[in-house]
Order: sequence, then C-alpha cells, then structure tokens
Amino acid sequence: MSLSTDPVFSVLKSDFICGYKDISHKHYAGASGKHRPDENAVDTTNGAGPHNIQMFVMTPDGVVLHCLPGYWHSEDLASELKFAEQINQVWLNPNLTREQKEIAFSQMQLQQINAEPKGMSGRSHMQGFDLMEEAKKRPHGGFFYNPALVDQSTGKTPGKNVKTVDIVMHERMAQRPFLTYKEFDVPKFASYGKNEYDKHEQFRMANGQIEPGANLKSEPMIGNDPRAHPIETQVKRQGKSIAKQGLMTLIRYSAHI
Amino acid sequence: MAKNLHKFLAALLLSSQIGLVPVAVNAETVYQGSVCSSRVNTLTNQIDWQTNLKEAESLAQQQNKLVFWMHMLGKIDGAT
Repeated sequence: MSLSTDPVFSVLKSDFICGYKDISHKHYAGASGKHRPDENAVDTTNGAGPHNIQMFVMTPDGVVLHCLPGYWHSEDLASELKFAEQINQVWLNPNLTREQKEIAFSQMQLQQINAEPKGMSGRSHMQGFDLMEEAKKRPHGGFFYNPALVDQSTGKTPGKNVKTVDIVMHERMAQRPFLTYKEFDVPKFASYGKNEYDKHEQFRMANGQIEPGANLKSEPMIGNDPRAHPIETQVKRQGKSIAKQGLMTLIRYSAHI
Repeated sequence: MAKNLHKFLAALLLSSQIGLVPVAVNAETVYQGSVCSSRVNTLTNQIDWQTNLKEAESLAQQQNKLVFWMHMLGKIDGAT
C-alpha cells in the first residue's frame, strides 16, 4: 500500500528501475492471509512482516546498497531510498579503496539511525507478537539493549530495553557492506518476529473491528503454510503414509526370512 | 465557526463512508477495498515492474538508475 503513495511513489517512478520476485515458495518466506487487490488492507508499523517482504536497492551490477525488511511507511521508505543513493556515491567514488568503502558503508548505516526523519522511530516499534517472539526465543538476537533484562518465560522486558526495527535494520546492514545480491543472506537478515503475519483485513469492518462470527480459519493463505498449499500438503501426507506402510511391510517380511 | 466545524465533520463522515478516509482503530488504519484497488492500479500502471532481475539491471545500466528489487508473497497486481 505504501509504495503507491507519495513521497515514495514519485521517487520510485523517477529514480529507479523497479522489479519484484514472488518468494512464496522460498524456504525463508513467511506466511500471511491471502488478499486480493480489492480487499481491505491495514496500515502497520515499519519492519512488520520481515519474512514476507524484503526491499533491495542495488547497483546495475547487482551490489546491494541497502535492504529493508517488511513493510515501510511511504515517507520513511523515501528517506531510506535517498540514503541508499548516498551509499551509491561511496560505491562509485574512485578515490576510495574497497576497504575504505566498506568502512564508510558501515559508518553511514549506523549514523543514519540518528539522521532519520522525525517520527520514524515512533513508526518503527515492533508489533507486540513479534516482540514476544524475540523476547522468548531470541533475547540475544539484537533487539534488546540488555538481554539480561529479558524474562524469557514471560517475554517481558522494560520498554526502554527494546530497540526499534529501524535501528536493528541499520545495525544488520552495517555488517553487510557492499555484498552482491547473490551473497546477501536474506534468511538471516530478515530473521525476526513470527513467521506468520496477518491482520485478517478482509474480515474487518469500516470501524476496524473484526466482524462478529467471522471464520478466521477460512481465510486463504499464501507463503510457507500448509494451508497455502493444500494439494501439495495432501500429497506429502499421503506419501508419508505410504512410505510408513511400506517400511512396516518390509520389517514384517524381514522378520519372516 | 460552529457552522464550519459542522460542515467539516459532515464532510469527514461522508468521506469515511465512501472509503476515502481511513478509519483508525487501535492506531492501525484500515483501508477499504476500493481504495486498495485504486492504489494497486496506480502502482502497476504508472511503474513498469520488471520480473527478471537481469533485465532490470540492464535497464538500470542504460538509464543510469539504481534498481529497486522487492521480494514479496504473490504478484504485485494480484493476490498477496
């Protein structure tokens, strides 16, 4: 939704060659409710749904200048695209060695945290269910200033102990200076939060509430979820059952020999 | 002043009924399907989305631009 609104829409249209790839069958992809273009959508926070969306800014020869995981608000994405253009200037600078370029890349990523547009941090808080996932399963995953203050059993931690997604995104990018697209470790970079992200948009009424009696389980799915691939799932289940039966027959036969 | 405020509120209410103004609940904005459909049309009609990375890189080289390459679930003009 945010790509079609300004300021980012105009920036994409004028300054970039745009493209996309469907990753719904990739092993690192997450899952979501499947929504048609004419169905409702819900605005959300920066970085939500990292397993489902990754947005790369690359040079024409495939060097990754920047990558943003998940959804990003139009104004914040536009800012990050402009930032990527600055990174490109470093990449193109003939007066710098490769090592100097990589150092500059990392420094700029970390400095950008303090140079972001006003309000971006407030738009970059992790979704509650993602925060719980990180607190319980990955307290050392980079989202907490002090992992020792995270109670893994309850998922609770002081609010000030939690980093916003924009900070973690820049910190992770700082560790990946000028990788090629092929080298870029998408699964690790986009690893945080729950695998499934869904707001049940098509069941929401105009006031935002879920319709009473809505059958959320009837929602079609997309991505890495058995419900997204019902035929495939059934074949796999049948295959496992047949294989198990075959193995039992072999064992019984072997016992009689 | 009160008259203008009433007119403004009436316009806002009307706009929300026809899906032009998002209705915010719990700090999350819900966009109705007609708005979403219109925006998808804008996004896909006014930007030429490549699906082959090599071709996108070649175009970027020719036009002296950077590549914006998005991984997503589904198709940009279809179900996602």
